[in-house]
Amino acid sequence: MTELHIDQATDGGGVTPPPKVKVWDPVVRVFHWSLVTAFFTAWISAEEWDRVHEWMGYLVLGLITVRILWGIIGARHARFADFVYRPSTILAFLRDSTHLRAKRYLGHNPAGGAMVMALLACLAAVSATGIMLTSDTFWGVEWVEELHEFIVNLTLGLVGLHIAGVVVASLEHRENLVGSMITGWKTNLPKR
Amino acid sequence: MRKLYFAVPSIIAALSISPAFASGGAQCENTSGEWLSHEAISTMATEMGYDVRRVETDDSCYEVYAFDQSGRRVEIYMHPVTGVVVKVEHDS
Ligand code: HEM
Repeated sequence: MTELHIDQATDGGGVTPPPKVKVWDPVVRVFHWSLVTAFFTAWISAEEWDRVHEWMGYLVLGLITVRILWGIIGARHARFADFVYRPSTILAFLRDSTHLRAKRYLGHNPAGGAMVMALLACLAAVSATGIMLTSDTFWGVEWVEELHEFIVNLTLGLVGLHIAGVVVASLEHRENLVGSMITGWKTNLPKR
Repeated sequence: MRKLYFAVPSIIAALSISPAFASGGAQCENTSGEWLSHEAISTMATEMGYDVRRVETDDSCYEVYAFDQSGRRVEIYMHPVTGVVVKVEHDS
């Protein structure tokens, strides 16, 4: 047994650090932070900077289109099949979460996965109503504008829950999920 | 490689604060007199040759959604007391 592991060689203390695994591929990470930037910029530019607002809207639409394709053909944890669970599983997970004893997942947990789908659906609806507002047919039509704003507010509410969920899950399992969404790495902890 | 993950969002942010993109809205001054009704504003814009879709109050001005004579989508900002056109914005 003369084989030297890189982990042990750099560790120095003789204890093997928990193995790291790449969970979020570059598409997911670039998608996420670009989406956050585009969505936020679209929000602050609304009714102030029409050009910026519209371009950011097209960008959001482009980003979610790529993400939906990636959810079908992408890397393991990026696929919808990896994080879409049946409603009963999602409810059970949420129930466990209120007692801070929900199971840890490497990819999206059941509630997180449902949130991803809800966010994608809302963003698609926001984009669609936004594009309608730039067409001759719906020019100045009030209900389209109101619907657009309503779905935006709904999305903002979901984003609040999304961030709260990330914070709760990070505290519960003592890991930095935001850091993982930046670097792509997670620690493959043994089950507790 | 890692830099790329920050480069894309940063470029978006940089583009969005570039002054080349600035537009939108208008300011109307001395609006303390009696305001014209939506109908009156609509009629005035129609007489100027616009095909009016909606009149709305935007900050200090009336904002009229309309088509101009060549059929382009425009937003006309009009003074709420005098009806003077303050700004005409073409939609893209
Ligand atoms: C600064 C605020 C935000 C933070 C810190 C944040 C953080 C995160 C984290 C940590 C994840 C991974 C969750 C997991 O581990 O399962 C995630 C996923 C996600 N977030 Fe956010 N998020 C933020 C804002 C937003 C906004 C504004 C949106 C949408 C408008 C959004 C949409 C998404 C989506 C769609 C995913 C799934 C990513 C994928 O699988 O492609 N997030 N976010």
